Amino acid sequence: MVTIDNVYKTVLNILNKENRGYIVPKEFNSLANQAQNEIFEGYFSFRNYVVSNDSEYSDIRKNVEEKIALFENEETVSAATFANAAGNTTSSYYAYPTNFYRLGSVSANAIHVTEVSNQDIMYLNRAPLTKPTINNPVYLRHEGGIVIYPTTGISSIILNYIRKPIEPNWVGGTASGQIVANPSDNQYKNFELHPSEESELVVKILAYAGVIIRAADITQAASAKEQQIIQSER
Amino acid sequence: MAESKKIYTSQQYYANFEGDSGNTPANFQGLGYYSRASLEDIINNFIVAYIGEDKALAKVPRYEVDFWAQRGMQEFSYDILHSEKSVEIELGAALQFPLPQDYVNYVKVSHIGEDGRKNVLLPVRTVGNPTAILQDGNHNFLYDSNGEVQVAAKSTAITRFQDPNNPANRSQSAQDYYNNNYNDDNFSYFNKRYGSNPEDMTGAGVFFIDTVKGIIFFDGTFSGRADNLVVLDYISDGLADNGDLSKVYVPKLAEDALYAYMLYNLSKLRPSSAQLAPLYRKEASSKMRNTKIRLSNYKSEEMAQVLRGKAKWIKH
Repeated sequence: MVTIDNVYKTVLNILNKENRGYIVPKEFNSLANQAQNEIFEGYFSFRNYVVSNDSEYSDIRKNVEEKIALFENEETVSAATFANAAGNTTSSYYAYPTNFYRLGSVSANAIHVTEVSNQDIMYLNRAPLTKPTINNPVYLRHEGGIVIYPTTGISSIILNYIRKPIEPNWVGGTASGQIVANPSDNQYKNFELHPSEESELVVKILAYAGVIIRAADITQAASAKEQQIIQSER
Repeated sequence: MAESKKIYTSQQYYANFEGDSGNTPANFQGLGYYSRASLEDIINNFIVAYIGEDKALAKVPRYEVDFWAQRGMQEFSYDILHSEKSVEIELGAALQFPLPQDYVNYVKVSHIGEDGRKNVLLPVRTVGNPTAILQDGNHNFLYDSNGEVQVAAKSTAITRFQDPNNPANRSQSAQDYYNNNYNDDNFSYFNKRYGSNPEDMTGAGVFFIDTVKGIIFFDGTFSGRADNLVVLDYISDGLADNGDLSKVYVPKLAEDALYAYMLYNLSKLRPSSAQLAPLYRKEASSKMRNTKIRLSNYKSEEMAQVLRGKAKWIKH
């Protein structure tokens, strides 16, 4: 978790240097969410080209996986019938949870369910050695959910997935000329990213803020700093 | 890390045999379960050990592993594994019975003697069960209302083969032959002693398997016998219960060979691992050979015992 108040104040301190400008909480919250999403989505590609080694704390790939693991979740889902606007219906349909971001693995009665494509399922269903059974089920993706084969006899479906990070939201005001956060407010939300992302969040927000306040030097400096951070993480 | 492979207490294990239903486990796998591994376990072990980043195979869907595990099971059943399938059937007047549902090929067909031992029966090669087309008095084919030729339920060829009144199928004593019937052309020993084919010189009876119709036929020799117990030892493909792979068993002596078979077949299909496929092929081949030797069940003491009986001059 990264404290949003720290990030907000750091951003303001840098922006206010030499009276460049100021961003209000509403703008900051919007940029904070944008920065968090950008970093979060970057994990999934970043993981594939960073090095992996046998060290305990410097295995970069493991570190990225650790950052993703903060959002790993599982949920038991129930079967439903999916219907689209054209009136087509699909049974044995299991909708993704509302906070769904990326699908990990699927299990049915503690048995791993394998993902297949729409093309594969037609052949699999006709091949005696691979036809899905209750003990060897498969699933295919279907608009906001999955469809599991065989369509009957399947129960206790658990989706392991990566959930979306909650939108960060700074709430507060000024007191005695100082900006003061109100963490007890229900709407106050910190960043959910790993603590190591604090500096990257600051520079990303600064880069966007520089555009808003038309301070190209801020954007350039932030971008350069971001590149420096990325390089250091490899 | 691993849980114990011995899944029952001694009391649970023997309970079923001792008729102790109270202590018999719910899904008891049977006496001797420890000598075999389920295909489900083998597939899961294979996925853990061979598939993943930085392993022999990077990414393989489970259904492909299932496929090659089952193909391996089939091939091993044909070539390596011992036949564990056997049915004992008492022949009725029809002198035939249907092949078992999971039949692939026979190992041997035997007649059970009074001592309970198997007397091996030989197949006959000169008998068939052709489709017998019905004909009218002018030898023209008969057709049904759909214009298809009509066929008889049973061919005359097989009817004659099973006819107990056929002289070749009559059981006659050698005394009859020498004393009275040496001029009888229909005598059953005729042409079975002089200038005859040794494979036909059996009085035990013969059989014929019609694999198209799935029926095994026995000749008329069996007709009227008081004791017509026949045993069919056969091989299946081992996958009759593949709806649940945890009920498909492989001898543990063949487990490693099956892993090698799966690894070779899964890697040869993938460009990323095809380079190593020749190595895997050699490994699979040698492990299959090793498994054959293991399952041949040679015991030096038994071998010595058999050879003691051979301490005689073999005359040709």
